[in-house]
Amino acid sequence: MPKLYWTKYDQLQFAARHILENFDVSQIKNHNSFWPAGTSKEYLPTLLEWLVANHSTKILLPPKGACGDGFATYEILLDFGITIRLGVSSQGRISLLQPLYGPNVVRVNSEEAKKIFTILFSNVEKRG
Amino acid sequence: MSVFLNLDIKLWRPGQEERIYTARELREKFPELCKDEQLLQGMMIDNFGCGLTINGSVKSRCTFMYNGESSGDMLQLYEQHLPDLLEGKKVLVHFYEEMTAWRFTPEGDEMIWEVVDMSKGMDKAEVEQEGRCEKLPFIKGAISWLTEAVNILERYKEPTKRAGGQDLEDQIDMAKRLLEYSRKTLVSKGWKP
Repeated sequence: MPKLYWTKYDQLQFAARHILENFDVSQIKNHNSFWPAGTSKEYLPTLLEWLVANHSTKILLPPKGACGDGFATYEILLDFGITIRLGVSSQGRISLLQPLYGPNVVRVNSEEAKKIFTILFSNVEKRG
Repeated sequence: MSVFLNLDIKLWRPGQEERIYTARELREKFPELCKDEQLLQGMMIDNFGCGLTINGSVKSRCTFMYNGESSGDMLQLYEQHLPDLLEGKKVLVHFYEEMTAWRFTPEGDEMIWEVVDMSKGMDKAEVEQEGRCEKLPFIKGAISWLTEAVNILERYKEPTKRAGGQDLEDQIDMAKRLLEYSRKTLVSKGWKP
């Protein structure tokens, strides 16, 4: 069974890409997915620990490349109906944790994301 | 039927118009851009766009992922996919955070290109666009993209550091190693740069 781990950097990145409140607007992609409203960045390590405890046996670490770690992704259906994509390096580092689809997962393209964040930021400025 | 990979960087903040700088602009407007705080804060290899450009039109623009140490998807393209394409094997180039992939199916000197939407899962991949292009110019384009990325990172390394942006040293090292390895592998398999 591979030893899986993640770093603080990864944890921040998972939140910066897939939690609305923590989203880094400089990282808008063609397709963007967000955890259901109410998901906090503090929840992600709990989820990762649960994934490691329950799904490690399904993960085969990819072979190392000549210039660095290889990388492989796995799609996993969670108990609460959300399918996630998990990315793991040859060393067992989890550097991708992305909700794909399922109840209340929000999926937007880049133009929709820009509209959403323009509205959210203008509301924050008005309140400020 | 020209094909190449263009490098650019997109900058956007809520309420602002999007700004796009091509690799050429990043080089030529360096004296002006090296003072642009927003650009310097965003200067990193995983913010560089990699655009699949066929006959002058960008069919898909993706970014690689960089985890602070390495870039698994970039490594796959340069270590495995380019030599495989040269040998006539079919490849699927993933851009993990983008949920988009490029599929290339070689047929002699040409290949079928497809932009694939992977956002609904690997088993529900949908072809968004497709066409034909030349194989060898794509390989040359990919090598040029990484060469350009290294050059730009090196050029902006000091101003980025001064502006409190990313330390680009590790990214440059990684990209250089990958570039050298990829070139050597391709040449050993008969590629003529």
